[in-house]
Amino acid sequence: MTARGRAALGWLVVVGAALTWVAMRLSVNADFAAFLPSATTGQQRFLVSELQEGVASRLLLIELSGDTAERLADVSRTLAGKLGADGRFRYVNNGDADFGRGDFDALRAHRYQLSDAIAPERFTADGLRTALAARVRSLSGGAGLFEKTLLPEDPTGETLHLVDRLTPATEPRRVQGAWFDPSGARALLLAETRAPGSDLDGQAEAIAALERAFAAAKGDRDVQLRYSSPGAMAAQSRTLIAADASRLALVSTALIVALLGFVYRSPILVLLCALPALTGLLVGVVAVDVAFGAVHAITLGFGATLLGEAVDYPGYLLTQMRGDEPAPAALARLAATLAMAVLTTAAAAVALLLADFPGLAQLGLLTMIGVLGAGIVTAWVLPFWVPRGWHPVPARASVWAWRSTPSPGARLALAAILVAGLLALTSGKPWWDDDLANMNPLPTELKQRDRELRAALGAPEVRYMLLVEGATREDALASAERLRPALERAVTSQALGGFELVTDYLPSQATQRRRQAVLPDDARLRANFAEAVSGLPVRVAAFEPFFAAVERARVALPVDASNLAGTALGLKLDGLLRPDGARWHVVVPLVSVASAGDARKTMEQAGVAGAQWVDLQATSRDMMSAFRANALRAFGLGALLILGVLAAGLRSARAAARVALPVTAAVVATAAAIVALGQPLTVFHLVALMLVGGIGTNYALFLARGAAAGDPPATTARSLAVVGGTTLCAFGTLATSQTPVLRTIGLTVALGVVLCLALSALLPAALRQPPRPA
Amino acid sequence: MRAVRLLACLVLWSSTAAAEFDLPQLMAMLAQVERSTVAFEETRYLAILATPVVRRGTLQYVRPDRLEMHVFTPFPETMEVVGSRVRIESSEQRREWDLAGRPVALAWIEGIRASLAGDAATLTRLFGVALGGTSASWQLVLEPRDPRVAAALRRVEVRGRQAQLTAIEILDRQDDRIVITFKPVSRSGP
Repeated sequence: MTARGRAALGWLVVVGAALTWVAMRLSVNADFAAFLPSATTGQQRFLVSELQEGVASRLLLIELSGDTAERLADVSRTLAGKLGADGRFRYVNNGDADFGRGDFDALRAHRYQLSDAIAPERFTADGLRTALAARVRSLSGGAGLFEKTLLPEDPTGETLHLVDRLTPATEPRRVQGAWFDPSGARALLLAETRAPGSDLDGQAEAIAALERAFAAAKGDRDVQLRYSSPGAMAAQSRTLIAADASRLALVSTALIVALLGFVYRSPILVLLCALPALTGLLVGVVAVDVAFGAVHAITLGFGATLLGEAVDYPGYLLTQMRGDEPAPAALARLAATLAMAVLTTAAAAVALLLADFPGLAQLGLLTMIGVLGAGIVTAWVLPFWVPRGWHPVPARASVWAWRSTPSPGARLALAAILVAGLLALTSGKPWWDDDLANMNPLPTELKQRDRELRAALGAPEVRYMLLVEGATREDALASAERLRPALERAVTSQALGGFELVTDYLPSQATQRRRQAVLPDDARLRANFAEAVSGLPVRVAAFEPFFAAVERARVALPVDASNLAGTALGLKLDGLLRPDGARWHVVVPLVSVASAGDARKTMEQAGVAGAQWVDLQATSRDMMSAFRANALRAFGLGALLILGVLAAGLRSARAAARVALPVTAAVVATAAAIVALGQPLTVFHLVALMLVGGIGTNYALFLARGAAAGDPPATTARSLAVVGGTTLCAFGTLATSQTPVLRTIGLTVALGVVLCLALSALLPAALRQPPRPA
Repeated sequence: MRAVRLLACLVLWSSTAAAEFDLPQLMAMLAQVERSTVAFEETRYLAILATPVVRRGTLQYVRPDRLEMHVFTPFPETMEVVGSRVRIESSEQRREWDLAGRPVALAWIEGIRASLAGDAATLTRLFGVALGGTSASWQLVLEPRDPRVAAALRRVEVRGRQAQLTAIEILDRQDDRIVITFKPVSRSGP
């Protein structure tokens, strides 16, 4: 078999195997925990899971508008019915069922253990008389009739007290039984998706189901649908990013094909240029999947970016082939430099591999395997597929020669002024931004709408909550109970609009027992009751259900989650009382936080052990900043490794410095330029800068090689112009994107490439020792 | 023979025609009334109370869907129903509900309101309706269709004379009975 045949066969086998793996086994996940250090505390993990799976992240706020209130209420009812029957939703409420039958029955059945109004004086003759007199009076009023069913068993009114307390303080107004906003022009609904907020596919499916149900419910009425939830917003922003990315990819592909077509004048060669990078990405993804069991979606995105460097590899080879030279021969000349280009990037990737974050380690492995794969394809497959006799049009010196050659000193000064000037422009501007919300591509109106809907529906805040931790379930519940006075104070002082405390429907067992102990025995209760009714027109015989209920409650088992199973309260309980390893957490959702500072102070002054104020935005920012700091450390280590590879490969520290200096200067200058433009750096910039470092190193390497080998400067210059040009086509297109993430990466790389080229042209020459006379 | 048969048919026909007073007729009659105000006396016989509760006041109906009950004794209270919203106000408290989520209370209210309105569609949607008597003295027996409502409310009986209601009796599943009788105070036609 010829070398060409062996190469093709080898490539086919590897690519075939990799494609098979991708088709059969590849699993991509979007678990945010991959971007946490592995040494994260349990609490941080809990917060992350709350962030991506908590009730707030699943809650879909829905708004119907555009028609008469009557018709909107009608659509609201139909829509609620359809969503309620859809397995993708756990819970739907449009206001119609103000208190579910199941909830009501559960509260009624366990009222003497659940009601916080249970106290000894409630069951004395005086206490009972007060209660009964109030009931007799209310039976003479209009409202009393609606409540009389409960009276024989619950004359002290515990059930209604519980219902009142669990009815949210800020209920939306109702029109024909459906929730409406204060203006009465928009019907409101709440739906909880079964998919967690972080499951973007699940969220997208739920939204599609919502839109279908709406289309069916609306019929020919002129009703508009709007909705909002963290999950829905994330799914929408993913759609926006994907749409933007694919549109821009089309444009940049066209530009690159045009450029390469113009340079190589052969369709086959244009196709060949994509081969190494694509092969590298494929084997890199498979390697990550094998090593980590799954590939994170972010790894895929970042990895594809970093492998942008490999797109240049064929360019270096093809643009520098001489007229009479077959491709393998040209490769032999360039192999050492190409190997250095690959190895420097692979070495930097090792630093990522060693990072404490699984997300970074994945990125490191993907990059390392990817560039190695791309390098191997460029070296051992590509040359055999270059058509025999093909060679690039020779670079014309008149086009590519430097018009002027400033002295080394002037070049150094120019470079120094460029970098120092950009650095100076950053003064007083923040360098880092760890708030990923700023990368959100959604228009601000959507975020504003979310706030309005949340306030109108009294839905819990996504950002703030209280977390109560306990060694046992009972500890956590007991601590949560002690928070109530502070929470009530915060509502009174209007720092909070409301809150939801699970202990209102599942008190700690100690509290339940305390209430049970208060209940008098049957003889005493009957005696007190008999005394209480004297003078009231009450028929004692009708109250047998009351005596029986109290007697039952005295010896009842403690109420637990199983007593609420299948009710809306039980569903809420699942989300709000959660085990975390051996410990337990109670989540206390907060509604309409008007003053986070005051609410937090009120809560902390209560001094409840295990309770803490949570600001999820601050938490995610902290995690991002830890991730960014780690990434930065890894990049630093990577830079050192690159220097080592350069020094070993070039067998000279000075030569290594000559390659490394312009790249370092370019990366610093790029970062400074972005900060100077008023955009603090995010982790996305960091990854883009890493690519700039990789690309820039290669430019410097090939420049140095060209100079050392005595190649015509025009050949080297054109070679860099072609590889730099393709990168600029790709990333310059991205820089025009509407979505901040893509724009960030595009702008950073495009800017970096220009600065790399400029500084590579200026600096090494300046550092070169003056040639000694022969 | 044939003549006899014809005669018999004729007699039969004329006697049914004379006795016939059907729901559309009653409803059409009631639907003439744009607004009405009557004095009422409501007696509540409740199992848990040793003595019945008696309330007196006025009841006002304004087409299409407004019902106002002004109670004077035992203590002043106003109940106002418009559409599905109910407001009850006394010197001590003011409460407001939407009846859309409360089918039992809604059936209660519609038994009175839809009867006053002559709203056959609402009555037959919520209740099985049986009409008895003549236009000079009729009674409507309303039995809830919705099983949830029927579990709480046994039936509503409405009695009247021409286009005027004279009494309503509501019987629930706890065997509590509420009897409301009406006397005219004023009346304005279409």
